[in-house]
Amino acid sequence: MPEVRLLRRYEVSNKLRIATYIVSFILGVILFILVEIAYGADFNDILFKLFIKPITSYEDLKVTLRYFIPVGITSLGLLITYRAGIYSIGAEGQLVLGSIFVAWVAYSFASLEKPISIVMALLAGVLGGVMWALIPGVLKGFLNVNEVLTTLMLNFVAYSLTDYLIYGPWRSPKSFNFPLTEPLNESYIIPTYMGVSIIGIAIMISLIVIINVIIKYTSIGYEIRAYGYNPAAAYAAGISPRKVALLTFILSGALAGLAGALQLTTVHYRLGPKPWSVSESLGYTSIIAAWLSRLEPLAILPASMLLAMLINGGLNIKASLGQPEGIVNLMNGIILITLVATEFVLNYRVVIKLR
Amino acid sequence: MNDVEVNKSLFLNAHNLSRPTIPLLRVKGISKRFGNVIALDDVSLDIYDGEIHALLGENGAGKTTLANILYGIYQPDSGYIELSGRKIKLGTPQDAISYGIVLVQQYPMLIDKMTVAENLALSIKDLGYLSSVRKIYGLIREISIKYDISLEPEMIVSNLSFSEKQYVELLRALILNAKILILDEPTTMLTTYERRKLFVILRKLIDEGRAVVLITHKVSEALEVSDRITVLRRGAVVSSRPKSEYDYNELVKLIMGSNVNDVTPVKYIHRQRSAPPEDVLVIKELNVANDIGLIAVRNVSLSVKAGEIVGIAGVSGNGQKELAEAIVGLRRVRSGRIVLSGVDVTNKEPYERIKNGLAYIPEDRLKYGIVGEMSVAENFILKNYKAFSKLLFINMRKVMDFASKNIDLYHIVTRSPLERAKVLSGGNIQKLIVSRELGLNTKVVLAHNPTLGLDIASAKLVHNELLNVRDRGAGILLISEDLDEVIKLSDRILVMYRGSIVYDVSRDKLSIGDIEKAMLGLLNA
Ligand SMILES: Nc1ncnc2c1ncn2[C@@H]1O[C@H](COP(=O)(O)OP(=O)(O)OP(=O)(O)O)[C@@H](O)[C@H]1O
Ligand SMILES: [Mg+2]
Repeated sequence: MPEVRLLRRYEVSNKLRIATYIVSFILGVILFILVEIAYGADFNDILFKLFIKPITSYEDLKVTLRYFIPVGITSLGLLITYRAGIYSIGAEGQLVLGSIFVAWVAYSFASLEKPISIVMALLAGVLGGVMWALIPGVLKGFLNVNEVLTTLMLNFVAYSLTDYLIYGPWRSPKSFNFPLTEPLNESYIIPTYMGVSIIGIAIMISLIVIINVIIKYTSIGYEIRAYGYNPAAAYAAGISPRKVALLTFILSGALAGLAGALQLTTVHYRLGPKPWSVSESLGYTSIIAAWLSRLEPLAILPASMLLAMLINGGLNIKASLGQPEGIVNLMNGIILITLVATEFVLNYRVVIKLR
Repeated sequence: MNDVEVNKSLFLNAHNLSRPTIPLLRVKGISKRFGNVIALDDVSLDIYDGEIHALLGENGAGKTTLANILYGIYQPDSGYIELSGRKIKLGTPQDAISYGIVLVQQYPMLIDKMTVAENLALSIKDLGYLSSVRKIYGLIREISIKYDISLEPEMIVSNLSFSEKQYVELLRALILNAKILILDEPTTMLTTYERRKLFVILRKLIDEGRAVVLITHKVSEALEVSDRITVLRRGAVVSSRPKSEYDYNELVKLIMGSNVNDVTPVKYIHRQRSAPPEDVLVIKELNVANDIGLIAVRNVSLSVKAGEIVGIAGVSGNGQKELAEAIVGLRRVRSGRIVLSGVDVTNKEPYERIKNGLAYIPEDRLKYGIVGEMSVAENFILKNYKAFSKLLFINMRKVMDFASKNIDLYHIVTRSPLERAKVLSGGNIQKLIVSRELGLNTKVVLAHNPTLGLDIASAKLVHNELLNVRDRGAGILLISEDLDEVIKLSDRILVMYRGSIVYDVSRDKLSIGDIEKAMLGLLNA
């Protein structure tokens, strides 16, 4: 029988790192394509729909960019918590809360004019995200409660909150009994240019630059990095774990909430039930984008673009083959798993001895 | 000949008093570079069974790198290794172990939350997946008794002292039945008594026909215990001969090369003060528990005055770790008070203590002293990064200047200030920490084994710095397992035994005999 052994690697070259990384991504895509072929799809057609169509056809490019913005902003926020060694998966809920806050502002101050209305809406989104993120932040910072559990559970609470609002007090009388809210007033809608939200892209790119500077060149970033790499040494050096937990949760919540605000004001205009909800599960997709960037803020751009392409491609495939809603999640899951497997390949060498 | 036969013949050779012509392990022309740092440069040496082979060299000489290559952790860039005349390839530690080569690392690599037996079970391959760890309790006890090692299989690793952890690693090597044991600076944490005990074990091991490679930077130790000495300087072998052919002064010269004049003589001047100075650190009736909730520090009261060094001697594992961690704020106290320059900081966060002028040179450097993944430069500002920032922005140029200055001043060997701190050699990491902590505007220094693992020149540098900050008016609490160091530096000496201070004497009334007795609990205070 062949003997299989796992050997710990001690030296990992950068070349190997990047190579395994690319290979694992390709592997993930191939696995997904295999699933699709089993469904009866054509290989070339799938490749075309995943990688070519999303950026070549203008209609598709618009959709790709529409995902690009929220995924980019949200994953940038998650990146901050991951840098601190805090594993939040709560961006989804924070994004939802952001959109709820925006809706509340829009319905309560319907008469506000642009640009005040837009500024108010974006601030409301940020506030909603921050509030939702502060719950796990405080629990983590003061009581050391595991953030993975709290953030995951709060996502479901956020869904339920939306459901309560759209089935209850906020249901529009004109929606033929569908659980939808009233569309936003014109003054709360951010204009797009030929179907592309230039404002959204500008906001995302400036945020990437700002967060990059914060992480690499400021004392706050220093604290976050030091704590993330070695919490014991950071604590002994006087860095407060409480401050790091609160700060990273506030920042990531703010970004997720902002993404929620943009989703509502540029794309959806109203709250609705799953799967047409404002979040579109992008809070989860963003987790993948953050890890895909290897926690490097500037790499958030290509990483979220790639994921936006894949989402769009996945949706195209789904539509043309009449596949279920879960197919895009399946693709995301496969890619995340192969990425995680990369870590393993980087740390261990698999040796197979035939005898 | 297959492996088993090779091993058998080794054991036969051991009892044959004449020198075997083929060395057990031959290292030939090994070179290794990391970027532009040449860690090893064409290193050749022969290791014979039945011998203790000392590998001597300064901090950064390449000792650990060589050990890592022999243990399959690093691959050499060139050169080869022969075992009993046959070339072998050491791709991984598992390969090395299968050839009977085991390394006891400079920093024990154990899983803190597990027991001694569980840690050891990890390295035993044929234990099977589902079998109970209890199966090896017997084996552990048997070996511990045979070599007189006082460890129990059920002990939790995080409660062990540094030297006890090293013994776990040694036990591991013995369980793996190593033919060639490499020990990387095993004695740095040991008291004279413990060191002698270790040497007895090592002699026993070579009498059984094994070979021992003892890495050290202490000349006296090499002369005391080894049969053969190889001196490494800046990655190259400068001499490799039987011990009898060396004397102390020659070895010092060989180790230091042209730097031999760099060693600053330390003037251990102890100051007599006229005006009664104020207390900068006061500890009152302190009780601290260890990780499993047992009291490790019992009713300890002490005070350190400005401009004074108070030394705490003691065998490791007598509560020093818990006391130190409580003072710095890494461990809660059960009862009692800790007062820093008049401010009660009991159970306050480390930040409050740093603010009140406390500097800390930790025993566990990798855990508490540096952030290994960050650069050397960034590690220099770990305690006062805020002083280097304006409106949140860290002035990287200032940081780089500061780092370069300290790197020069303390002769820290590094490729560049931007190198990750964790790749520095053990001694260089300590120099980084000491220079950072003592450079601050400190009122109180807690130094825990500050010269552990440092070569002569660096240790003297650290002693000089400690004396300097004392002269600038800081109070220093020196907790050290190196009794010589405590005696040389301290104005007052305390001895800690089983969590209590059992002996307290000012330096003019000191009796070394009493201190040693107190350390072993033989003195009735
Ligand atoms: N992984 C690495 N990457 C880069 N440089 C390294 C690495 N490992 C060791 N070095 C460098 O190689 C040199 C030799 O280091 P080594 O750890 O072998 O010294 P040493 O003799 O064990 O010193 P010490 O007594 O301080 O432990 C040092 O300058 C060190 O910075
Ligand atoms: Mg070393």
